[in-house]
Amino acid sequence: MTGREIHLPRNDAPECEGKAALEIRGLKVKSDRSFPAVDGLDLSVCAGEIVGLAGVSGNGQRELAEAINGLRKAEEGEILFFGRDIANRSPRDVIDAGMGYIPEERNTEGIVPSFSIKENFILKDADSTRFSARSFLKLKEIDRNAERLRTEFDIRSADTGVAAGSLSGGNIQKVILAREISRSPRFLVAVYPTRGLDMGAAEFIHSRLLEKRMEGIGILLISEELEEILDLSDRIAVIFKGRIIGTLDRRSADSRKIGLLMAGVHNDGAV
Amino acid sequence: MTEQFKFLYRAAIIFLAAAAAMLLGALILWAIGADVTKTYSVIILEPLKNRIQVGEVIIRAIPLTVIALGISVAYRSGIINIGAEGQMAMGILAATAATLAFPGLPKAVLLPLAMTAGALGGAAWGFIPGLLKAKFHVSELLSTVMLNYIAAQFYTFCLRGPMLDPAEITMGSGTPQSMRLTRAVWLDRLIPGTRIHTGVYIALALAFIIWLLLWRTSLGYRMRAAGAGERAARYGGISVAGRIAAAMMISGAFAGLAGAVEVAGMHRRAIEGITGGYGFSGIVVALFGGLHPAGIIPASFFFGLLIVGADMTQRMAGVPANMVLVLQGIIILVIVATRMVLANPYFADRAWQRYRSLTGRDREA
Repeated sequence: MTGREIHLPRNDAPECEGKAALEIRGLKVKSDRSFPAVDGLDLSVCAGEIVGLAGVSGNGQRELAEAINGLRKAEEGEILFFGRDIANRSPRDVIDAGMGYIPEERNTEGIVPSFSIKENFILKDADSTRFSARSFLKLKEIDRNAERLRTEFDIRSADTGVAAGSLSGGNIQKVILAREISRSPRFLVAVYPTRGLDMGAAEFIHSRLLEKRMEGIGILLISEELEEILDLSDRIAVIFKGRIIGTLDRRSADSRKIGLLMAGVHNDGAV
Repeated sequence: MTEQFKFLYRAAIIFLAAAAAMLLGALILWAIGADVTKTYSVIILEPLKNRIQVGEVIIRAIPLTVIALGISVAYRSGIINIGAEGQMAMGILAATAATLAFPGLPKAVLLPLAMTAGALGGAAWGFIPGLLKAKFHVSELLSTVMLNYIAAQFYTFCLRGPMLDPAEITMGSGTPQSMRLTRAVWLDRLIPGTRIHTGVYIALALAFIIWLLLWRTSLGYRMRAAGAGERAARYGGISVAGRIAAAMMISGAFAGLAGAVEVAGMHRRAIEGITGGYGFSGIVVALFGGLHPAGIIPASFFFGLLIVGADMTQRMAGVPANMVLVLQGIIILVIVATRMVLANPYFADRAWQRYRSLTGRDREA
């Protein structure tokens, strides 16, 4: 498919000992149908650490990610972001606190499909002094930024004026990744970042995420793909029915253990 | 697909759409026993035959442009404003009231004051459905339409009650109209012999302002983002509720301003029937113009043509003027269908396949 052999990159770095960048305590979040989707969840992620959150889709992952990013109400509990509670703050506040977010729905949430690539790059920053002056957009700077990101993130398109919705899934994800990473966030929440992508794009995204981790940025990686989780994570937490059912570190984790936890089985010996 | 093919495809679809609209219109005209070719030629050619008639078309295009600009702002922000009719009425009332309250002011002060009052009147009327939508998710379709009725009744009440021209009472004729506005607020006539007034400049300036707002400012960017992808906008930290309220206020302000321009440029007093359906035609103009100022200006000229042509068909071809409303309806249906076709990549792809297989076979032969 890609014309060369692909080795998905692996995380081989030592464990973190720093202070928690993101610490979630007793979080409760309701789903759209108002049953408790996240039900007393505790989780912490250090700076410079990737925590993989494994779990079968629909166990509260989406609600958790949305609550962290101010897109869904937290009924109870706190979300400490570098020591400051960001539960129930507006999405703007969370963004300004330094949160980066690769959302689950890349086509409708991560981009405005009818907007051009370059317009999508400034989705979170239309107001920033970098891209606007006295409320007028700086078109040249927007073009320059888009051209730079397009080369740097290897986005395949004729130019940056193309509607982002017309790109392939992998290229859309690269647009989102480029925007989130180029904003130099202090933390990144990535939800199913490579779901449905070809190996080439997946490799690219994995190596970018690892790069950020090496720079000292904490990442919460929510995924269903065990290989992805095992390759990238420093620690692995498994979510089941809105709670963390178990946490493993990279060395002791294997897909069997994680798989059992994902199925809700606490005690390995019992099986 | 080549760029050339894409362009040809779009042009062909638009041409087919125009032809379909003409054909449907022709069918209806034929069904009521009218002379089809004569009706069309009267509507489209007759108003362009002399200066006075062209002037009449342009003075109708002025309020249409201004209203359609406002509606396109709302539409692009993801809220459909059907309340321009009511917002225009409120604008007329506000502009008239402001002018009558300060009759002694010089033109340089009074004219901007009246225009601002008109804009504020419309903005206030637009703000209500905007707020209801943003705060309580009340459908703007319902609230704007209902506010139209309230505005129409309030308008009638004002003209028959508090704003009624005192001369009408002493004379006893009781025509529901306000006092004549002072000369200071009149928009000057531009070309002798026609009724074209300086409102043309206002409309063109506003078109430029809307283009700047939507495509050159960060506020416009956020409004378009909220309209084109609500979830993505929310994700991007854009307050969608705030944008909706702002867009409805701008939309209302433009309708109100159209009312102020109309009363200052044409009637020079508030009378009944000034709005005359401009608020609704403005929606069609906005859509027909592709929700873009560069499209809205020619579109409002075209609809001005239809309005003037409608009067003429009645006189010259014996077709009732209301038939133009039917034609407008057909145009709306065709626009909606065309937009769907143009937005569907599969249709384009299938046409491309067929085009390729056709040209390929040609080459073999």
